Amino acid sequence: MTAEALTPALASGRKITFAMRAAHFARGNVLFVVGGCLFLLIVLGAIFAPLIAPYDPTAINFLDKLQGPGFRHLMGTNELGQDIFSQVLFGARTSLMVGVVVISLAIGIGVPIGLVAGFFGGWIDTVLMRISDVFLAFPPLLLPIAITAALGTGLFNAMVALSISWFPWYSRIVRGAVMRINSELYMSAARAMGVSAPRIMMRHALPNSMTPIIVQGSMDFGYSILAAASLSFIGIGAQPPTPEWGLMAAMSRTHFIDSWWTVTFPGMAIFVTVLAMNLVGDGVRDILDPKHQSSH
Amino acid sequence: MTALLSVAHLTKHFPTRHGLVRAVEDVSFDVARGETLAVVGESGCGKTTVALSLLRLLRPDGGQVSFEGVDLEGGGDKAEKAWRQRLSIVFQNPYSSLDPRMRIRSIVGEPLITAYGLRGRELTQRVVRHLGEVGLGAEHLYRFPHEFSGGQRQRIAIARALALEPKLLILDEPTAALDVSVQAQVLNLLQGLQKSMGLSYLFISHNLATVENIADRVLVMYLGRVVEEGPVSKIFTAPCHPYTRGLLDSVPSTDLRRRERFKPVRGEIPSALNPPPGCAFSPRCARAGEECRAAPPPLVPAGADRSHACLHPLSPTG
Amino acid sequence: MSDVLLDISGLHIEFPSLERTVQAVRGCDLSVFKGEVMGLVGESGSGKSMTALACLGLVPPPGRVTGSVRLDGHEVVGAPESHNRPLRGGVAAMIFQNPGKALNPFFTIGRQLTDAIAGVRRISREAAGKIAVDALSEVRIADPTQAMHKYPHQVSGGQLQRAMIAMALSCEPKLVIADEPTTALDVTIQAQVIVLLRDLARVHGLAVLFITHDLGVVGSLCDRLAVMYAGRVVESGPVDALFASPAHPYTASLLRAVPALGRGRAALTQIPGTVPNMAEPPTGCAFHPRCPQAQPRCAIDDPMGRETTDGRTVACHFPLAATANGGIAAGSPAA
Repeated sequence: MTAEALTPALASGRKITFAMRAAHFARGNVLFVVGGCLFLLIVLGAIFAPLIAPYDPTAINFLDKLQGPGFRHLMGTNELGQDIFSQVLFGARTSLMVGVVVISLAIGIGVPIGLVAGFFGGWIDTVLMRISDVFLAFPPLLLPIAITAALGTGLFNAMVALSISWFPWYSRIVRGAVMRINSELYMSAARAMGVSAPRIMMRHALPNSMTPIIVQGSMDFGYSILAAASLSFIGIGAQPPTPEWGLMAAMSRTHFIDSWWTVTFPGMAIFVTVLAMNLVGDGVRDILDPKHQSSH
Repeated sequence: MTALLSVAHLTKHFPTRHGLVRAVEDVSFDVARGETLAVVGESGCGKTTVALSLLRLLRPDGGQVSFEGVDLEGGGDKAEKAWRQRLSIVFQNPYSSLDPRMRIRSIVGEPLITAYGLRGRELTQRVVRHLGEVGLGAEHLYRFPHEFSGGQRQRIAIARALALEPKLLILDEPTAALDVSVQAQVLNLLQGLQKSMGLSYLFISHNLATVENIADRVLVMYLGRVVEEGPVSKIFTAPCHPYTRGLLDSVPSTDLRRRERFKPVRGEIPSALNPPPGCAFSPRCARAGEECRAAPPPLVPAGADRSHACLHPLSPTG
Repeated sequence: MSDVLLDISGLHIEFPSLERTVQAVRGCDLSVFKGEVMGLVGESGSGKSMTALACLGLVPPPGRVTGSVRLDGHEVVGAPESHNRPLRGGVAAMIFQNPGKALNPFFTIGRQLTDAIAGVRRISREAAGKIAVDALSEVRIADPTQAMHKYPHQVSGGQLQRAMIAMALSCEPKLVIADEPTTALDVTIQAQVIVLLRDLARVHGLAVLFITHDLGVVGSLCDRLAVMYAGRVVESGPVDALFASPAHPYTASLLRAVPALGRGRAALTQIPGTVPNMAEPPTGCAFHPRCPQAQPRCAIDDPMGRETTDGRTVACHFPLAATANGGIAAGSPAA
């Protein structure tokens, strides 16, 4: 009788289709799917901005200034009569670029430092990590503000400043991962075979420490957009006429009381993007975390 | 005839926060061509430290190591490179010793890339040859370690160790992490390889039954020192050192006639941070006297081919 | 016999997921009598540990348990947690492979023992503390009063395992389930723990279900033995009879494949292949792809366990004859 009870599960032999796999995955990772869809929407908006946008985002039209949201202007216009919907769309391009550049630069600086520190340990580790710690000792945003002030205002400098203040997180993550990997026998095996240190780092240590980097990178993507928008908001990031969400909010802040849409829609864009990336980051962590893998 | 590997007075100490750990103290042994020498002992006895020192993964604090009569120290990078081609290691745990993100071709090929810069078809051919030596087919080349069972992974690790055609393999408990039903496969494979290639093995283990099956000679270690050394057939039938006796009597057996003999040694293995004075085994030894606690007893010969470090040895019948 | 303490019959445990359902246990039958030391031998994936967890209703989700486990007359499978909890500790206690993980590093051994005893037996902490000291001295810890004040990291693995045994015994269970309790220990310490368990079982009339992958340990400790393969008991019986003339080809092969002290350099008979993947167990007899005696029937027809002489069971269509150690006697020294 008990043997019978088992057979349906065993003998059904149903074929697992891609759709079933996808549905199973979506059921287990609802938030990731929601975040991913939102992010996809933003990316599509950014790519097809010239096709979707009803107006030139920089075109000034004083006749239409401070129009409320409606059929002519989906999200209204600002005090220069620029179409906010078009600006938000083009702003997505700026923001996504900021996210990609800041995180890539931070990973590009932080990962090699963490890799070397974690692999060699000892005084090399101490020196490198103390240098990294210096960058973590400042209150958040104060350091980027100071660096941007020194380099000069502008979106590019703001991105560089953000990367410089962000890389130590990646150094720390990679260092921790590499120190853990150091005790794996395949590292000892490679050393015993006389494999050179750079090769061991590149072929063994780096690939096996990528998981936490990917997770952290996708989480930070949203935050870096938020931070860049903050710099633009206080006037040291993107400069007009660049369509940038933080800058848009800053330019219109005097009209917030009487024309709420001028600030609300750029702010919403930032909020949705950061939220989407957080959900994606959480999801990526859950998927890549070996403890979370149900089937093995 | 000179020994293939000769180790003399090997010493390795680890300074720790709580004091000096004498992990290996004055250990000497030879491994002849085609011979299997087993190093047995429990945790903290120093057997793994010996292996790591031979692999140059640890720098010993003293002693000489020579291969085919050539001293390792002072040879420079070139000598070290040649050294690494002559001996390699198979680790205990094949789940950790193969990089999970590499394919089998890269894993087995890594020593060949490092030593000879092989690539492309040449590399593939060599890897296929070594996989064949351990009984694996070329269809496995582009698979990842997680697609294999434990026994197969250990075969892959052995293939990698054979890639540079070494003369000596260090086997660090190569079957301890495997399912019992596949251990024999790996042991038989190792014995076959030894016969066909004339390999020497340094077999590190705590499993005396496995040692009896595979080794010619055995080195028994306790807390960093050699306590007894000699041919397996003699040591296992008539040990001189009470620790060896205790170790043998502690092995659980499927032979029910041995159940009467099953008699554990009393006491615990002392901390390496705070070893007892004199013979480290004396606190657990029924035969120990005052003189045993005075100084560590020296290794003395007992017959032509064996020696022990005990002041009150059990009389060998041989 | 009426004095069956643990009776497992038709136990199935499966872990479902979308693509495949892992059948950890597939129809396990096993009984442990009062006061006997029973060995449960199996390799990784044989389902031995899951069977042990099922005895106390501890199979983790999403595991589905069906069949029957009767522990001292109580049905465990399908019973509510409130029914099973009193059985743990009081009727059956469990010892695990890694004692370091079973104890909290922030509290002394004495405190954890006292808490456990006071909790299960519902007595005052002072009384529980006295019992704890007695329990520690019973497991031959050198200085029990001092050991009470030590933290887990301050004592060796062997001492910790003794403390765990003391904790298990202190609630006076009828059955101790020990899951590879000596695997992580050194050889000489393992021997001490085996002798300790043997003596404790004798003195207290305690039944022990000892789970291990090591046939040697069974040989030194157990009265009876059950061999598990692919989620099912393939053979069981008294240790001496089973070792002298194994009836199931798996048991016979295993005995000849594992090096045993005293057999010299005799070649090992290797078992081909590898332990089966329990998501796709072989059809028919799960051992047939590796079995030297396999016939066509073995691939189709799943053999059920059946009773043979003197309390032995075997699940094989073509059991090895139990006559005069006919060529399959294992564990005996070469000449």
